[in-house]
Amino acid sequence: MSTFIFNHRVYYVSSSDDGTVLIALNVKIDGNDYINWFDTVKDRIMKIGKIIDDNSEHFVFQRSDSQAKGVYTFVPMTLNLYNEKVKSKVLIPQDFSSEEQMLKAFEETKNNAW
Amino acid sequence: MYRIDNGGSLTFRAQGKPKEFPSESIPELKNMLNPEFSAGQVFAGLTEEELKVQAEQLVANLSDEDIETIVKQSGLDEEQAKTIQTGLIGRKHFLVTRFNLKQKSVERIPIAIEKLKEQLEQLSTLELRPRVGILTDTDKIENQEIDIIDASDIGRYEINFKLTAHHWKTVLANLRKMRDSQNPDFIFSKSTGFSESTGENTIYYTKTAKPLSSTERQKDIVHRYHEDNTFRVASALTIKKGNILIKISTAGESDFGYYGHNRSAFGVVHIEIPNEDGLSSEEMEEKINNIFKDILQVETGLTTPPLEAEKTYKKARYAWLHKLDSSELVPEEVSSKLTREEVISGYFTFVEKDAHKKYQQISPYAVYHSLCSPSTLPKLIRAGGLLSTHERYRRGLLFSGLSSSKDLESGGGDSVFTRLVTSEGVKGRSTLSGVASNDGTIIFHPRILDRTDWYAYSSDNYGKTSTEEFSRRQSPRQVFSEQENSGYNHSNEQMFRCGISTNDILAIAVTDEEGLINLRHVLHIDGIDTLNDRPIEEMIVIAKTHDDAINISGGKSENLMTLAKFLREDPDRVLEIEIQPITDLIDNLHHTTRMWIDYATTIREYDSSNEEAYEYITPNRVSNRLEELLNLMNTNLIKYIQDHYRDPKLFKIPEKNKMELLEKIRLLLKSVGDFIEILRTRKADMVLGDSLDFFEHKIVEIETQSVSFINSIKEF
Repeated sequence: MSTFIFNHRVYYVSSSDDGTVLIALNVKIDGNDYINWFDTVKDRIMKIGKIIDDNSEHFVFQRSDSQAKGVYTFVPMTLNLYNEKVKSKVLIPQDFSSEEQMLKAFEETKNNAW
Repeated sequence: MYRIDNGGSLTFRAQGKPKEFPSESIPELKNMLNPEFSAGQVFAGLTEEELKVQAEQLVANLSDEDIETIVKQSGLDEEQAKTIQTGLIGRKHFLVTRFNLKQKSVERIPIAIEKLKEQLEQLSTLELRPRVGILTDTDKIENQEIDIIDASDIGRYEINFKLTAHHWKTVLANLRKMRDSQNPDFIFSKSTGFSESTGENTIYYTKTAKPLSSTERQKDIVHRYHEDNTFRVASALTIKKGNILIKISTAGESDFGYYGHNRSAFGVVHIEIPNEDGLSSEEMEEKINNIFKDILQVETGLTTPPLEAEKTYKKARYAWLHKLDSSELVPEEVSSKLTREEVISGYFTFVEKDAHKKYQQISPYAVYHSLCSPSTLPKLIRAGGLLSTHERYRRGLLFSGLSSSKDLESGGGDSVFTRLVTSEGVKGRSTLSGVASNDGTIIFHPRILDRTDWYAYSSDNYGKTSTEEFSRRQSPRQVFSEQENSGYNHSNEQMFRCGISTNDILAIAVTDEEGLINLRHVLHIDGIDTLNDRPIEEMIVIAKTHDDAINISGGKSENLMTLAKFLREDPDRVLEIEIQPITDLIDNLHHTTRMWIDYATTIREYDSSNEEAYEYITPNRVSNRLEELLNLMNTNLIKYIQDHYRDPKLFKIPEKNKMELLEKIRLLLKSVGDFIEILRTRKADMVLGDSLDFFEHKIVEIETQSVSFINSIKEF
């Protein structure tokens, strides 16, 4: 299994099997077995069973934790994705005039999660 | 002169040996009346009625809070203080039951309000509202506890708690009947949906703001409820009682869109009491008491939970933690082993003392929590511990609007998350992976598992509390057997209700020496020198493997590198690490300047219409970069020292680094000179045009300042 480099600052995460995922920062593959990320509130860690698809813009894996076998998709966060899929599900929804502004606001959550 | 022998007292026998001090009973009520003992010969004549009168006086005049204060002021160590406080409060409640006393609820709110005031100063820098917990009720309020929050920044007190699932449904159904029958005693909010002017029909949490005068508050009121400042938690059935709003969550059953599904809002009651001039805390207490009885159908009002109710609840909690099918399966002696403790400021739960020692016998372990940024460490220390999302939000800490609300939806938002690693789980494969990072990993005291309010999953489940998921949670024994049988899974999780106190922090682990120094700086800047009465230098430690973390948890960390040890044993390396940010800054500036020179040379030698080069060397960019350089020469070194050291005298640059630094600065200044020279020769066709004079002026300024900058380095 290769090590994947997640070089985008923020990802939109979706899974038809798991409604708890939404946003990912600091995405890393740890020890080739686990994927972990910060979801703006806490760290998430999942065991990777199978990588279904990957390229620089798209990463899909199937989870392999005891009772959780869902499929998860990571795509870089864009303003469109934010407005369509994420905005209504954050604490205090905001409008952004640029992608940079939006990314910075997501990154700021790292300093406030404790 | 007579000397009176006081005999035994509290945890001591008459001859000074230790004795049991149960909170569940008062054996002395029998022993001291038994004429076979010497004390009995004195007290045997006391009648039941006389005992009752004394008990009545004591219960009426001594509040739980009084006991807490007296014990706090006694100077006893933490362990002893806990035993005595629990014993005294428990015994007071025993008297209530034993003599069938009516317990007055008076003064619970006034005392709570005093406690809120005490917290104001400590929390002011955090924008976190003070909060205290009051124990009350038998079986209708979750955890037999309500919380009072001082929201005076928006002109009110807020009371929050959760009704138990069954009672929540009953109350909502009854209140709706009253609303439909237009009962004149109950005024229901008539508006529908969220109202920005009044905030009715919605439970919402608002950001903490600076205190305002009453006039300012009136002007600001719409802004307060504005969506930029509020988090809408759930729709609610709202009742007005005078100017008090009582909001009962209808989460899960409403048409409130996305937020209607917040499991963390199930059962929530949120009462808003305007902080009016002239409303005494005693009057407030009476109003709250009536609301409890008349509206929320909690007949006992604000009285403390009676002993029997507490016993029942203890068994239920124990059964819940250990996944027993019924409270009847809980061994009888459990109720005497569990004591109610304030595990984090304002929040109580039952604790089974030393349960963690049994778990350690199964396998040594560490419970840990990874920070996502070192900058969060001072904040959580100031707040008194890690707080759950729900706890922070309802206390006004809504600083990061873009945080996902998924954990509130799953129900995990009511808890703080940890992970756990056991020796058995990592046998033969103990590595760094999964535990430590240089952002900091908190390792907790193993006694944290004595708490009875936590649940666990074998893998990341986001703390879900839906019925289906909850049935799959692990009991403490399952947590350990899972790791023994299937190995340690990095993604396992434990959820502790409300928060985890800083008292339970044993160490903060990082992976290398740079991590040690960085965390030290982060804490020092915030003025934090000690934690749990220990210097922070002893608490910050390098953990490279799971076994290191488990050893720290088990108190066997003498072989690990702590910050204190590192400072003592390798001062040169410490200074090298400390000077690194300045070196990096100079390198970065030098790199950029060389890049400019390359661009400027390209223009001169080849093609002045080179768009890429023109785009790069814009007047604005050059100006910004020169300004940055000037800042470095002017203030950056001093600022760096001020940011990292409250005592700049502690800052020293090692000789070899000093030489290296001076050489780097010399090269940087030379590069800047080269750059300006190239620009000067190309002035006619450079995009910078007239700006060049301004830049030349800046360069002179930089050169002048660099002299004092270089001198300041030589001095350190």
